[in-house]
Amino acid sequence: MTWIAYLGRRLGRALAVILGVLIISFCLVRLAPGDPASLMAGEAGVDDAQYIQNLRHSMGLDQPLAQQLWTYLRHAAQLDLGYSYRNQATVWSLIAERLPATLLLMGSGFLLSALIGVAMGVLAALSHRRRGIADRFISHAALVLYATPSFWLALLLVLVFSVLLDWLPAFGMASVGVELHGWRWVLDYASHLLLPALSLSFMFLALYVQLTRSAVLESLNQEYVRTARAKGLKPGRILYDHVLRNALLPVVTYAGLQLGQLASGSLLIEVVYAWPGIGRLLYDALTQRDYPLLLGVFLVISVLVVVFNMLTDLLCRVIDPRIGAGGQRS
Amino acid sequence: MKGDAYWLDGPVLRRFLKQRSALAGLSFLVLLTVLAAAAPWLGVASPWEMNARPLMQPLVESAHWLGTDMLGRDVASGLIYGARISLAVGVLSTLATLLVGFGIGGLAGYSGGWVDDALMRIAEFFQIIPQLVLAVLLVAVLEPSLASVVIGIAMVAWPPVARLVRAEFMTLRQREYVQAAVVLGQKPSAIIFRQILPNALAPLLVTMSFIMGTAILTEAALAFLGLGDPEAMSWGYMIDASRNLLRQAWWMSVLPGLAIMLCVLAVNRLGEGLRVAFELPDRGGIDP
Repeated sequence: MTWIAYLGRRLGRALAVILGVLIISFCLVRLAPGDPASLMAGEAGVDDAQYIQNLRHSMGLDQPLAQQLWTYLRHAAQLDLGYSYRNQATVWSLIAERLPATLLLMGSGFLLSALIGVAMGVLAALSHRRRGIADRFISHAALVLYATPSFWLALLLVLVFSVLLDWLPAFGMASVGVELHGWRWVLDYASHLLLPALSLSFMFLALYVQLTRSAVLESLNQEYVRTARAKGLKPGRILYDHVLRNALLPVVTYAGLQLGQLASGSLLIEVVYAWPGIGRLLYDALTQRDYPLLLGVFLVISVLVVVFNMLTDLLCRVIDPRIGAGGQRS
Repeated sequence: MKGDAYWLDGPVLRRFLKQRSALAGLSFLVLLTVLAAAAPWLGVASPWEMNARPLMQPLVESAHWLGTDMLGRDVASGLIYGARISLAVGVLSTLATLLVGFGIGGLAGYSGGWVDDALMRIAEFFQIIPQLVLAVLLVAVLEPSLASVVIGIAMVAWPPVARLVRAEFMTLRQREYVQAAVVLGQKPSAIIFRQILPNALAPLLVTMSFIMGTAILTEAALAFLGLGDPEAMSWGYMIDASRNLLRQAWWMSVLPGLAIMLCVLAVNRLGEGLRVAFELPDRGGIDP
């Protein structure tokens, strides 16, 4: 399959998923108790039959369902995600304002989990060959971590590093009421980011440790590693050039598949740390039952996940030319 | 493979009994289930009853040995009653997930062709999108209750089960004893329930236990976000209610989280034990 054809197919699939997300959120609106018009009237604090009737007409709720879906899709394509009466702003403007904070958290959470996870996985695999204690410890820790609720672990980190040790701030994205410049400003953001990013990374750490560990163990037994050893390459070189390169592929593949979990996890972590991202926005919308905002956030998070999922797929193809040639992943 | 109930053979049971962590997990779960089910008859006070001084530390007074919360409610009662909702949601949503996954996976695997193609695309769709966010939306729209939480979890958890069932159907269809049943003129339903199902049960059981672990975690997350059944005390709710008091009363948020962790760990270890006993391929001990 040529690159262009692959790109076209992959793009088509991503668009199909986004269409699916739109249809689901369209159906969810209709599952909600009461129809959107009476809901919105209630939001706006009006209880008048004529007003609701007018609203219903202006929202197109008196039209056939297929027509309504078409209108909904057209609006969504223009980033018109509705209006949040609670916040007196369009849903898109609310989300756009919060998006960078979430992207920062998700990005740094992913980086931390990949870095620590791969390092621990390699350590465990090397120790496994010597029947060392590190392997047993890391493997057991990964199992426990996998059973731990992320939001609770985040609270434990707050308890230890903010309450007991008082090293790091417990909430927010930056210090309030202080004017900081230059590297002090960066440091302030970094100190606020560290605990949330670490908490988020813990969710995936266990997975990456296990993946890397088994991938490294597998490639250590491959013939090309034996050849490399036989021709006298240093162990460090073998590890970097021959083992790690092949072991990284499942990590990247899984990272793409875990993006949805990363976004979900970010929601919980943002709630714990009062991080001003779209997860926190979703939480506030939830307590206020602000349906347009809820659905808007769901839509934007899903589209983000789909886009990044596509990018990791493309990245996998770049890292490993075999994928395209063999067509193992269509 | 010997048709019916081959997993109850001696070797499987012996392999299972050899694993200490799986046995520990099973014992923990049995104990927790008995404690949770019998709570009202064991003299455990209602978790809503405000019957003591608020913010009492653990291990100070024997009547409230795990302390009390900000309203003077006993934390130990909360943990025991919380186990009810965690276990109930865990079991019910695993069954619901199985139902959906079995229906869709079975249909895909049995019919093949474009039906299979379409259903697997749908499964893939549900695996890509942020599952917890969808569950949150579903529960919020349906109003939080035991039923809506179970529906929300099953709605996002079914794809791995569907994939597994589909794969089993596809391989088992080729087996001689299934083809023999087809030749003998057995009805499709009889073939599915008498021939295919008993042989697909081992991998299904293993997957189900991992799904149950995830379900308990998801229920806790939903309750933490304020989307639990408002009638029932739950571990996630306890953590949410007390997280602003972390500085004054750490035990109120630490203990319920510990309970969730132990419970999920026990379920996962049980699943891993079953996997080893059935001699199924290793998947790193995590994730179905």
